[in-house]
Order: sequence, then C-alpha cells, then structure tokens
Amino acid sequence: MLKAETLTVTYGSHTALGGLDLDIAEGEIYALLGPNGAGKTTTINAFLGFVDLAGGRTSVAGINVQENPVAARRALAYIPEQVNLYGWFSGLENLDYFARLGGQSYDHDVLKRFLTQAGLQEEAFGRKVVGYSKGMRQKVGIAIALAKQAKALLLDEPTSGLDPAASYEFSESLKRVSGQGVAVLMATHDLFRALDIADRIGIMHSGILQDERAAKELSARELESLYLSVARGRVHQASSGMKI
Amino acid sequence: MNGRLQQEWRLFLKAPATLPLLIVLTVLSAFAVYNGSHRVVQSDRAVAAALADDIERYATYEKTAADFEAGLITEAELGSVRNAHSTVLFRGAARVLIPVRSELGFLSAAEQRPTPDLQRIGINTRYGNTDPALDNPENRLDGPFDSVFIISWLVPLFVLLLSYDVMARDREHRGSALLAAQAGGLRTIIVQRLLVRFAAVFGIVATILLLGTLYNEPDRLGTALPGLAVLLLGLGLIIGFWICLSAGINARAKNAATAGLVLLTVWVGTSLLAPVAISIILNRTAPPPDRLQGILEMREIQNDLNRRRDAVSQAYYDAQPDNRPVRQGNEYEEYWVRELYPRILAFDAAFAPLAQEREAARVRQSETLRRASVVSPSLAMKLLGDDLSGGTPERRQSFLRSVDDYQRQWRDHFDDKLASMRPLTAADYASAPIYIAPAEDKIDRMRRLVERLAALALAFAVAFAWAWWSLKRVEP
Repeated sequence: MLKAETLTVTYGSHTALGGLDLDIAEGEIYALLGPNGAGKTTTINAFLGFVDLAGGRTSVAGINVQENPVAARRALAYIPEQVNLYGWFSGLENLDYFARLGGQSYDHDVLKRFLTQAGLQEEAFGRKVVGYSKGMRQKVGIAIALAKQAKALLLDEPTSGLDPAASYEFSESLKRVSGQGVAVLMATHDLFRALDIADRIGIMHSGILQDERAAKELSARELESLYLSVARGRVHQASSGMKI
Repeated sequence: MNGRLQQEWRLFLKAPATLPLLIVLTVLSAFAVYNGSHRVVQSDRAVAAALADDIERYATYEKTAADFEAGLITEAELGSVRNAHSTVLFRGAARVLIPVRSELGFLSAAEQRPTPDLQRIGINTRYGNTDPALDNPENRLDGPFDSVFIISWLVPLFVLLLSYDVMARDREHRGSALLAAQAGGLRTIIVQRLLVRFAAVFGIVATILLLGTLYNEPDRLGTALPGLAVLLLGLGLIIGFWICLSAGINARAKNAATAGLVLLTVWVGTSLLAPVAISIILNRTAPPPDRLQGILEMREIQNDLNRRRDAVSQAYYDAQPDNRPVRQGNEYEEYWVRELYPRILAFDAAFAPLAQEREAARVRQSETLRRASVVSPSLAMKLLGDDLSGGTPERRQSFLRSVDDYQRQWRDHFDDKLASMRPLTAADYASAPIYIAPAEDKIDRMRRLVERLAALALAFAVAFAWAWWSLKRVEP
C-alpha cells in the first residue's frame, strides 16, 4: 500500500535519505524510529510529495506520488506532531472543514460518529478547539483521517507530548484504524508505544534504514538496546544482519 | 459557490479579527460617503442660492430699465442702474457661472475642489486667483476623510490586515503540512482564502459606493453608473494588486509577523513614500506655476499700464472711435470708463500669453503626475477618484477656458455701452449672452481615465505574475 523504492533525497550536499526501500501492506502498522535528523520526517514528506526526490519513487495504493501527487494525497491521511486546528472553530467544525478540503462532505451525524470513533468525548464536539488539550487535538486528527477514508495513514511523532493515558487512547484509536485495512507509517521516538502497536519496526540513521524487525520478535529491552546502538553509530546492516 | 469556498467563508467570518475589521471598514466607508454626500448637498445649496440671487438681481435690472423706458420711473429715480458700468463692471453685477457637475462628486469631501464651481464673471479681469490649491501635487496627496481617501489608502491596508496571514500563520503553527496533505494542495487553499477576502472587501466598499451614487445622483444615473463602473474596476484592480502580493508572500513566509511586516513595508513604500518622492521630484523637474512669480508678473503689467494709462486709453478709443463717451460723466464715471476699463482690457491682453503658459505648466505637471503614478497604485487610485469626483486641474482648466470665452462674449455685448456711457436698455439685458457650461472633452476624459486604469492594471499584472510564480513553488 505504501511503497518507497531506492528513495533518495538531498538538501544541497547533505543526503537526507540514501536509497530507502520500504513496503507497508494494508492493515499493517510500521513504526519508524531513529534519532533526530535520521530522515523519518523526510520519508513521510516524500510520501506526501512535499520534497523533490534526487532518486527513486514513492507510491500510495499503486499511485506514483511524484507523477500524480493530488491523486496520491487523496488516498492518504496525515497526522503531524501537532494537529493545528482552527481555534475559533469547534472540533466538529474543524472536522467538517478538513473533510471538505479532502474532498468529502458529510452530515453532522456522520462527522460525530468519526469523532466518537477517534475517541473524543461527545461533550467536546461543539466546544471551541482553543480549549482542547493536545490529546484531544490528536483525536480530531484521527477523525480527519477517518473522514478522509484514506487507504494509508502517515503519522509524524503523533504521541509526542501526550500523557500516558492520552497516548494509550491514541494507540487504541490507531489500532482501530489499521483494523479497517489502513496501512500506517508512524515516525516516533516513543519506543514503548512503537513496540505496543506496530507490526514492524524500522530504525533509521543518517538517511539509511539500519535495521528492521517484526515487533513481536523484540522485547522492550532489546528494542532499546538496538535503538541505542544505532543512535550511537554502531550501525547494523539490515540486509546482512552484520554489525559494522 | 462550491462547498470548499463556503467552508473558507465560514472559516474567514468566524476568525476573531474578521468581523471587527469588516465592521470598521463598513463604518469608515459609510462615513466617507456621508462626508462626500454632505459636501454635495452643501454645494448644491450654495449653487442654488447663488443662482437665485443672480436671477433675482438681473431681473431687477431688467425691470428697472423696462420701467424707465415705459415712463414709470424718472431718470432721477433710476439712479446708477442706468449707467452701464454699474451693471457690467462690478463683480456684484456679474453673472454666476457653474460648470457641469462631475458624475461622482460625493467621492470627494474637499472644500476647494470645484465640483461644482462658482465663478462670477463680468467685464473685470478674472485673473485674481490663478493658483488653486489642487494644482500643487503636494496638496493632492492628502485631503479630507472621503471615499477617495478610503479606497486609495485605507482599503489596501484593510486587505493587508485581513490577508497577510492566510497561510503564513498555518505554517508558523506547523499546520500547513496538514492542509497540504489534503487533496487540493496549498495553492488552491491560498487562492480560495484570498478570493473570499477579495469578495468581502470589494463587496462592502462597492455596495456603499453604489448606495452613495443612488442617493446623490438619482437624476443622473445614466452618467453616474458608468463612472461608478470605472471606479469599481479601479477598486477591483487595487484590491487585486494587494491580494496578489499577499498570495506571493504567503506562498513563502514562515511566520505571520514576517508576512505582515513585508506587506506593511510594501504598503508604506508604494502608498506613502512613492507619492511623496514623486511629488518632490515633480516639483523640481516640472514645478507648478509659482504664485509669487505670477503676482509679480501681474503687478509689473499693472505698473506698466499705470505708467502708460493715457496712451492705453487713447489707443483703445482710437481703435474703437464709436465707443467714445457720448456724454460727460461725473468724476467717478470718468475714472472707471475712461481709464480703468481700457486698462482692464489691456491688462488681459498682456497677461493672456502668461496665463496660457502657466496653464500649460499645470497641465504638463498633472500629466507627469498621472504617468508617474504607475509606481504607486494608491496614487493612481487617488487620481482616478479625483477625476471622477471632478477635482482635477484639467477639468478646472477646461472650465476656466469656457469662462474666458464667455467673458469675451459678455464684453463684446456690453463693450460699446460701457465705453460710450450710453444708457442700457431692457433689450440690452434681454439679449445678453447666456453661459452654457461645455461638456467635457470625452476623448480627453477617457484618455485620463484609461491611463489611470492602465497604471493600476500594470501594477496588478506584475503582482499577479509574481503571485503565480510564487504559488507554483509553494511549500508547506
């Protein structure tokens, strides 16, 4: 569903992504880990068509993002680290606004259902977003993704700054979304949450996918050890499993 | 309206700053129209009073002359009315001349703008006040709180206030990526948001101007509405210019403050600094006629005529022997008729080339100012508004030329009566020339309006091209 082939992105002389290959299936949750500057956000931006590629290609549901970014974005939903909603609109109005931007138009009952599915309390639907917590905004972000009926979901540090309860609720919502067959690519620093919800975990460093494992193969301690070794430069090669 | 535009309307109208700003714009525009309408009403009253007074006084003269001829009153009772110079020499006995009022006089609330103008005309020279304030471009940059001021300076400022952050604020709060991830992309969103703002500002100002036109010109809608259409075209172009600049800035700016500051700097540059710079350059390269110089030139001619007064009077009567006085007047009459009147004619003949030169300098300067306004949309809009409200040097010069023509007719009619001191008859009054205000030269008018619209269109085209180029490269 989400596919990157030898994805290469450069900013001047700096290589942000160096030939990344990625393939995420329907209903799969893929967590992308790595230190700051590893290339996680650039990978997401490449799927969104926000960056010019120096090489390779990305596709969403078989649609080449570089050739047809509008059609590709139609199949995608995206939740950034901070879901910036319009404070003078209610959660419901924000959802309506973004749903229409995404080309969908629903009546209020349907919109409320999306908000409920995303885990937002009903009493908050009509309240102005300016009074929402970050967790509530993230939930509206999920509702926007649900309303878009996207085939793939991209998340960039979605649980950053959330308290454990909000983070848990968010994870549960995400599981429900992937349960509907949506492919999820999530860039995160939250190892615990990644292990909890992801099917596969990839660890990046300097624009290269250094290691990739099935989440169920790893314990929390193993994941932390793996992450730290990559972050400290003791790089694994995913293809050979050799330590270099 | 499609659903997306409807959503942008809602988002725009619900934003906290929108309604207060739109209400302030509405109130200011309405107040400006009120000011202009008040001035039109006052002017109409002044014109009506002056005309009524003129008609009544002239009718009295005619009736007195007719009564005398019918033997109803004696010569002793007739007094000075019988004497020609009393009737035609003094300004108090002169006719009131009024030009055709401009189609959109209510756009301006200026005291000195001649819309309509009153010019008293008679045998006396009119070269007394040859330097109206509007000839000086410095005086044309500021002005009262009227619609011309609103649409030239304040409307662009309101457009900036409403549009400077249409995307820059989202980018600042990292919300532009979420917007860009929706199918349409940022370019479409920026364009739709700016279209909504264009419609709001244009709709409010255009509606108020339309109401002002309907209120002030109910009997002249045939000429007023085309004038309003020209004005609204200019308004659309100047709003479009600023909307395009906002689009270009919002395609790039990382935060709202930067976008606002850049746009405000452009506004200060094009709306304040450029007109002042143009005015300074213009006053050095093509200065308006110097008032003091004009007074000195007049005085010099007067002094020369005073020195040659006997020769001037002699030359006049030699040239027109039939106009020699047929009777001996008193000392007062002798002075006016034998000395002052020939000198007035000689003065006007001597001053005419200078007056023409000064008039040409004014028109030259006005044309240069108009062309220079290509670098300042606000100045171009101001000049367009001034033209439609009637406050332009060209219009005033055209009126004064017609006044000169009429003065010549007036003098030709009364000249022999005045110089010869023959009594005026009722027939003389009845056959006096009638002033008909000339219609403005349509081609010249169109040329001026088109030039100003072209300046605005050029500014819009440049801003549009830049916006287009920037929007093609818009990034979250």
